[in-house]
Amino acid sequence: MRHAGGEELSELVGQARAGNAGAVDELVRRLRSRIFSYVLARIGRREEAEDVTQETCIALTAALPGFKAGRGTFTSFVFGIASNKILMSQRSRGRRPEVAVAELPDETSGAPGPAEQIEQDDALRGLLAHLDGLPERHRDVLLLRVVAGLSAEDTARALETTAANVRVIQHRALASLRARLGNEAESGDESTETS
Amino acid sequence: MTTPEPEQDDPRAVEQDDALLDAAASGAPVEDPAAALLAQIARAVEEPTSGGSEGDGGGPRHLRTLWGTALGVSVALALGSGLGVAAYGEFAPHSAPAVQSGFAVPDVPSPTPGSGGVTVTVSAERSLARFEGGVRPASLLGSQLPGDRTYSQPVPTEVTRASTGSGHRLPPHAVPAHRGPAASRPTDHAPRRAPAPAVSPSHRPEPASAPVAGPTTAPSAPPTPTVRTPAETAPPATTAYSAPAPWRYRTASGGERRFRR
Repeated sequence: MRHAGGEELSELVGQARAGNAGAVDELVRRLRSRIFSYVLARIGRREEAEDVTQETCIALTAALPGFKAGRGTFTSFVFGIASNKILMSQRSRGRRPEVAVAELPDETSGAPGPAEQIEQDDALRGLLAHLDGLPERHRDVLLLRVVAGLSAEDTARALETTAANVRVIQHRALASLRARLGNEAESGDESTETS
Repeated sequence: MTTPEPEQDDPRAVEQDDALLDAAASGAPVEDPAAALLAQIARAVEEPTSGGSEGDGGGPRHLRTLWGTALGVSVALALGSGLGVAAYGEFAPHSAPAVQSGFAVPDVPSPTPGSGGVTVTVSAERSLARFEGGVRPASLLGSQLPGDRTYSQPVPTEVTRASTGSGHRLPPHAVPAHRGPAASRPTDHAPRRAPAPAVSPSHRPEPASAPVAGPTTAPSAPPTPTVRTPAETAPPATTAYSAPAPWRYRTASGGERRFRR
């Protein structure tokens, strides 16, 4: 699950910054899947995650000339943009009414069917529900570290903090998560015994 | 965000958790329930068909589906609105089918700019077979071949060779003499993109005074029709002839575009 860091992309980034359109395409193609996974883990809603991923890729393309290699790796730069886009999406979610559709969209070949998709999304939301009690910053750190595959240093750059701070946050977040999971397991055992 | 106090945490436990998250991120099995949960989330959000995390060309499945849909729409658009591409090797989006109001010729593709007059195409091969040299070969005369169309209205005099786009007018002997009035016939002199008149298809213009144009002459002025069918003698239809609807298609975003005829 560990992905290539910014160093491995540095050559491609250099070409993209020089205006090579093919390099930009390749860069986005390589990173899009990672961005989507991270955004989906943060948001938990597939359609919204696709939109945010698209916005992130567009913002990334626009921000490429402003990237300075000395200020961090490229992946930390990318996921910093993605993190900001997620925040913007979450803020605007309340202002954006949801419209129910009368029919499910047509199923396309190769894509999971609506029922299968719903099952997958439900399973994902069930997993993400365990993180609900964590502060937003703690969730962000954990998901950047595991889902996006960033190192503590890259995570710190993406969140504009220090690596030591990231390590402490993740330590506390894991401790809190362990306690929650332990409590849930105990309550599950008790309910099983009583029944 | 409140900055945590590092001195409150055991540095050794902090380092252990850091290593634990590194292991979970790399896909290694972890026993810690919290790290295992995070690894499970990471697997759940990975694209099932990507076959890898990066560099494999596999983006999110839905994004690829969108691309595929867009490609399909493009192909359908090309096939639907560019019928002339296959026949002429050129796409002229604004070249209108020069179907005159007097002839109900269905499915007439649009001519290329260099094609000159009216094009009546049944198929490229059939047109060549029938009109090569102006007449159908003797072996095909009088035969109803597969692909032939039967028209209730006569074919215009100045039928041109569609497949070549040469715009050659057929010699007089190749054309029956009882075709309709020349004014309603397309000619090489008529503007190629002339709009279809908003009259009934059965209606023929009747100039007050004009020379009678023979079937082989290209009139420079609207002539008087020489042959009138019962439909022509009847009063004009009350419903005006509506020009063919523009070619239109729907874009991926739900909009609509049109090609003018």
